[in-house]
Amino acid sequence: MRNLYKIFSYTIILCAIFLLAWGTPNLYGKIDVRKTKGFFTYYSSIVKSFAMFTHDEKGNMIRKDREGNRYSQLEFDSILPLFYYRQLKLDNKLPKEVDGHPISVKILEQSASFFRLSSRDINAPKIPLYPLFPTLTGRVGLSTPPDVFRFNEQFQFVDIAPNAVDKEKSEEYYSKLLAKGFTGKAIHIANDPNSRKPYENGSFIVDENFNVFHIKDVAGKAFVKKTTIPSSIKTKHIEVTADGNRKFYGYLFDEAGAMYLIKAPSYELVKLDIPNFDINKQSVKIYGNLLYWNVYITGDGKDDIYALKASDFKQIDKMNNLVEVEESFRLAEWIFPFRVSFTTYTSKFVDLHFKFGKAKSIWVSILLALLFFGLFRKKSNYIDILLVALTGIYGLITLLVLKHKELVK
Amino acid sequence: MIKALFYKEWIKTRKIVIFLLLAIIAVSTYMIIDNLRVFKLVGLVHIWDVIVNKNSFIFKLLNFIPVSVGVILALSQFFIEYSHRRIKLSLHLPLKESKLITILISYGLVILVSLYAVQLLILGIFMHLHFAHEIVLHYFYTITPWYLAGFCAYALVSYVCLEPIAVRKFILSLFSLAYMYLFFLEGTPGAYSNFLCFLTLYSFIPYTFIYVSAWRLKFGTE
Repeated sequence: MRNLYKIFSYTIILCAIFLLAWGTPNLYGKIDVRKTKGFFTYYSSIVKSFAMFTHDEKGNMIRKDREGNRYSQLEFDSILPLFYYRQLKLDNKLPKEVDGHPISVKILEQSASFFRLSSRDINAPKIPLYPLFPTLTGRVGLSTPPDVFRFNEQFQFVDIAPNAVDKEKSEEYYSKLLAKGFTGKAIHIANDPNSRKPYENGSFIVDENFNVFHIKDVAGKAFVKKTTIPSSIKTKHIEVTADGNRKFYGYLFDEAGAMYLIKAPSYELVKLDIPNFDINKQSVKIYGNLLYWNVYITGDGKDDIYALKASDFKQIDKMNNLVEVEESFRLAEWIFPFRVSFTTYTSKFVDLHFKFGKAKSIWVSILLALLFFGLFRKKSNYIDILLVALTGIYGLITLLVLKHKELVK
Repeated sequence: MIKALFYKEWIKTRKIVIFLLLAIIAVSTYMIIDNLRVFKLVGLVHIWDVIVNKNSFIFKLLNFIPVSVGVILALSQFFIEYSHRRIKLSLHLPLKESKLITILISYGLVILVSLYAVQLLILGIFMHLHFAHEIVLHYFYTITPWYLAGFCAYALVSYVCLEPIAVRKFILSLFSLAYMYLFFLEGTPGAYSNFLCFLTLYSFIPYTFIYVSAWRLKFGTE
């Protein structure tokens, strides 16, 4: 019984150490805020370089380009006419053309493009039910459909109100998918569930052989097409969008990390001229205008921006490491031998993450164990000393608080 | 002896248990009636849309109910025992203290499982009638951590109640609050779906702590 008491007592101590390994680095992180210089960076069609908001040495906000030339606010607006066109129009300073292309507020609004995909959007719990908005209904605007589809073992439409499978509609779509060559299960389904989008681009379904199928509800009839997207690129993820000019169905990401635009209506893939990246760990943001696309890739130690030509998406410029981190002595690297966390910036799932600290923290842990031995050698045992040696400050605090009476008696 | 102890615990806690049962039925019924009213107002299609595409959760009241039930039950079982020092009498029964504690905890677990089962049955039938099984499963993943929190809260409150030293009681209360925080870390519905195995183990480890408090009480570690 005494042994059981000891085992359960040490269970409490281990749980307390576990909680300290979770809470203490978190708390320390809130106190020790690392200074960073944030940037807003955008490619200038006038100076043909990146222009940015940043801080100077004194911490004041300044506007400059990559060459170091500084600008006032009005000058900054003028070198970014494809971004600040509304302000320039208000100031009567909007140029009539840029790089030989005539511009107006209407043209720039129609050609503006924004896309954002965060790794937290990918690594997030989802309910595998998808709406398919009907098109060519004779009505202006989209209305939320009265059913959703699922694709588990079989393709099925579920009528929402009676909460029952619509067998006829399900059979119509499923038989057409099989006729077009769909095999096995759906490994990825993509759609845009936003009912406020300007139009519906349907849903894309990827089968086990990486063939990509496009389905739409056209005036109440099933439209099913096997796209020309090659199975060799191994489609990993598709984001369906509805941009103003109707040139693209959306974006495609393959297993290798390349990013493509899916052209409409041909399904031709246009590769964005940027390095491959991992959508499970990194985020992508695109600000596009009439002439250039600014593509930001952040996360996993990278903060990069690429300027691509809007005509062919070829890279014309790039800038790496946008965020500057001020290096300073970090106490955390010495005192925390390991840390536990349950959330990350790249995922909405809760999961256990264990990370060892820097090697130098081992010396502090050993020092604390020797100190513990020196102070309490008559009352402590080898398990306590080993615990402090392995867990450092977490073990020391736990033992001092929970075994205080036994240690000092 | 086991039956007698169970009966003793029932006599001690029956009013609280009946109150908790009625409260659970009342809250569950209220949530259902409220949601039915919303279904009528905005339509089921819109409700499915906000659940599936905007990750909305329609049983917001459910968040802290299982924990509250666990805490109240533990207090009704062990607070009175400790405050009137009755537990010391129980610990001197011709029964191993570990067996006694096991019986007392088992009683609490049976009551908790029964109360949670009633609530899950009521809500489960409602969900099954109005939503696809994908949504029902998603909601199961969402609420499971809260029910595990209820089991964990019962164990931790029992542990704190039985601790004989006041200062240590305070420290263990802080420890318990920190321990419970894990269950409410991420508010996104379904966020714990990959984590339930670990969370289940994490929820039931504190049941071993109760034995430590009981042994400290019996063998007078003061």
